[in-house]
Amino acid sequence: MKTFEYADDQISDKEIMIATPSVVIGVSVLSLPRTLTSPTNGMDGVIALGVAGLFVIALTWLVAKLAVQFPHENFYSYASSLIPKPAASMFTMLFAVYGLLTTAYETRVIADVAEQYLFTRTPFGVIALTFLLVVIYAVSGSRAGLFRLHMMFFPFIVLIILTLVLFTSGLFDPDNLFPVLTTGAGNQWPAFIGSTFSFMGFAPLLFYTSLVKKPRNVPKKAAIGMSIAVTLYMVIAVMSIGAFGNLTAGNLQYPTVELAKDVEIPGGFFERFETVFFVIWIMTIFNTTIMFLDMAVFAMNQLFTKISKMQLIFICSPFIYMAGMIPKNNEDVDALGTFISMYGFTVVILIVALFFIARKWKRGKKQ
Amino acid sequence: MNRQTYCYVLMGLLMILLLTGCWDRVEIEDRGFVVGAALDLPEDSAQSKKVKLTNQFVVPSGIGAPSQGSSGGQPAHANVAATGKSLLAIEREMGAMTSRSPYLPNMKLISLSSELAKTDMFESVLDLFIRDHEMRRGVKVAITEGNAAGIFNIDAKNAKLPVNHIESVMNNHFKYLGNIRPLRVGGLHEYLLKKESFLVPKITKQGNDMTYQGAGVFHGYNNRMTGVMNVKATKGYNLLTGQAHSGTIKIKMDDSPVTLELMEVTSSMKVRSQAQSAIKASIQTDVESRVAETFASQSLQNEKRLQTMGKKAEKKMEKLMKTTIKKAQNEWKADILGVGRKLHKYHYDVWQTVKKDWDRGQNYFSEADIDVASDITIKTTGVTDQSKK
Repeated sequence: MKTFEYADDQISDKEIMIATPSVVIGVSVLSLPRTLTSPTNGMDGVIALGVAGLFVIALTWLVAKLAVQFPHENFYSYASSLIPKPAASMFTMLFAVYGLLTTAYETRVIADVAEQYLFTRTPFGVIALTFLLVVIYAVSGSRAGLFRLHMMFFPFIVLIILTLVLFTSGLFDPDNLFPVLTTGAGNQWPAFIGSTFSFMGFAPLLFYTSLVKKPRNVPKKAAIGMSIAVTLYMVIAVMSIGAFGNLTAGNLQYPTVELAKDVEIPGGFFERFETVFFVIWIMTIFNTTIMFLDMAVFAMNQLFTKISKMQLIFICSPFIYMAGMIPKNNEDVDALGTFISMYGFTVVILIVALFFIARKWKRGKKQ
Repeated sequence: MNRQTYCYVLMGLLMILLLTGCWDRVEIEDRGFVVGAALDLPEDSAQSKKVKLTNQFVVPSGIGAPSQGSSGGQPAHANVAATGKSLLAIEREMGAMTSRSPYLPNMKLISLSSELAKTDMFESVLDLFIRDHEMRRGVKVAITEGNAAGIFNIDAKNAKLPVNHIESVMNNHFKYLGNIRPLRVGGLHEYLLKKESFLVPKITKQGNDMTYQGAGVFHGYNNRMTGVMNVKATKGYNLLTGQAHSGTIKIKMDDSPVTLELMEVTSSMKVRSQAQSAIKASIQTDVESRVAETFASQSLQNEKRLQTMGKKAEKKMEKLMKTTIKKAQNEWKADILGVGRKLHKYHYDVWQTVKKDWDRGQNYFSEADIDVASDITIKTTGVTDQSKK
């Protein structure tokens, strides 16, 4: 088969701005209100979310700032200009593994959620396979095309969140938000960590900044993009706590889905709002997944220049599928999610710190 | 054929494999839409923790197409009952008793008998309705005096199904002060988790009819029904919590009755407390009303007359509210008014010291000092001053 090649594989900084929140908003938001409320009182979890949000926006800016220093240069090449080559290839590989693991995790969760709410009798292995095949199809195409998908889907995501908020506002009881500021720092900590992890998704910036035509504004745009995600998360968290109360929100497996189920718009089709919600939601998770799989392929391509992109995809996908099928139950899946977030977070922090130190050191030597 | 063509044919054949299977396909004709569930204690086995579940199924042919109206005398519903220890097991067992397997997402009402509500089965049987993914949190819950399944046989009047009739009646709550707001399963889940005392609206079957009034009072710590709130106390409750949107207050002016219709009820509760022994709550209820009906013939366009009318109405409302408070504190000893909730939200430290003995044990709630005040504004006297001279 012939593959069609686009003329330019370049993107604009605006696309980065939209892609950032689009990548961040994934499966974690479905359970986010639970993560926030189960250790805290009232709406205190939202404070942790806000702090985590600010922290993550700063981190996004920093990551983008770093990548922007090397316009049009891919990750491996600028990494090896700063740190020794073996270390650079190790980090590139670590990111590839991060991307693959995240793909596996997202595939698994979407299969689980779909099995629980949509197809109770369809084996989740089949749902996962179908989803993964579509993801692979997307990744096989042009890289810039993925960003166009982000641009296309993101308005729908915002729209569906706003609709959700609008239609559940009738259930919102401000009393549910109280008491305020009664949670000790010890209990805020897990909520903070949980929220930080739910914002994981800035790692692709390290790779895709090299595709941006005029990368000067990328840090600013990425930070703006991240604040869109933070705002949407805050809205969802406040809405769920207001509608369910702290205890219930902390008890539901996927409070955001339950919120969607609570919407009752009179009149036939839209009475089952969650169906529409799921369709859009699968799109957002699809967006997250394609970005991470593509990042993994992109990273590996920089290391193994002789193997083609398609070959890499076909080599990796069986492993992704198998990795996604390993967890036995919900707890295992949660544990995998936490592990991936922790792993990704550590790698990103490590690389950013290492690069900045290396740059300082090299500049010092030049002078 | 060359190799490439073979390849395409093979791929096409593989595609067919993907197209064949939809594991979850159930034709709509095969689904038994369950609109209501009634839970009773079976008569013979009160000890063995069994429960009797009655489902109301829709019979589509009884409903008929919208254009042709009802088709003949066939009833649009069928009630199927089974007994067992687990609700889900019963639900699945019902698949063997009916031609259409039960399909739950369209459920509208869960009715529990008051006998069952007095046992510890109450919180247990609700688990399925909260946990199951097919259930929606908007399903209404009600207590039924006597036999819970009985109300599924009432005359549906102008609705097609008894359950639809009951649901519509429950949605009329805002017209009458003696009705409380319908309770959703989601709301009940919150109460069960919070260990807060609560009310569940009550349905009573009367012959072939039902009435929706009053409520069952539930203790938060054990989630069991401890008492029944009558219509009068419900009126007081609605005024205390400001949940009423409408309703009437009847007073007497010069021996002839005057009825005020409530337009808007707002209430606010303030809790002051320094220590656990001295918890003071004051509830202020503000009402806007209009004169809806009077049997007297005097003119109403009289400032003084309206003022006395207002005073009398305020006194009446305060009496209603005080009755409810008294009952809550002494008879049921259950904090249905939300004083504890206010403490929890706004006096967190005090709440920590009293929460263990709030409406049980030491029962600080019944020792709390709750006073009420009300204020009524009569906005209009209707479109005419006098209807007769």
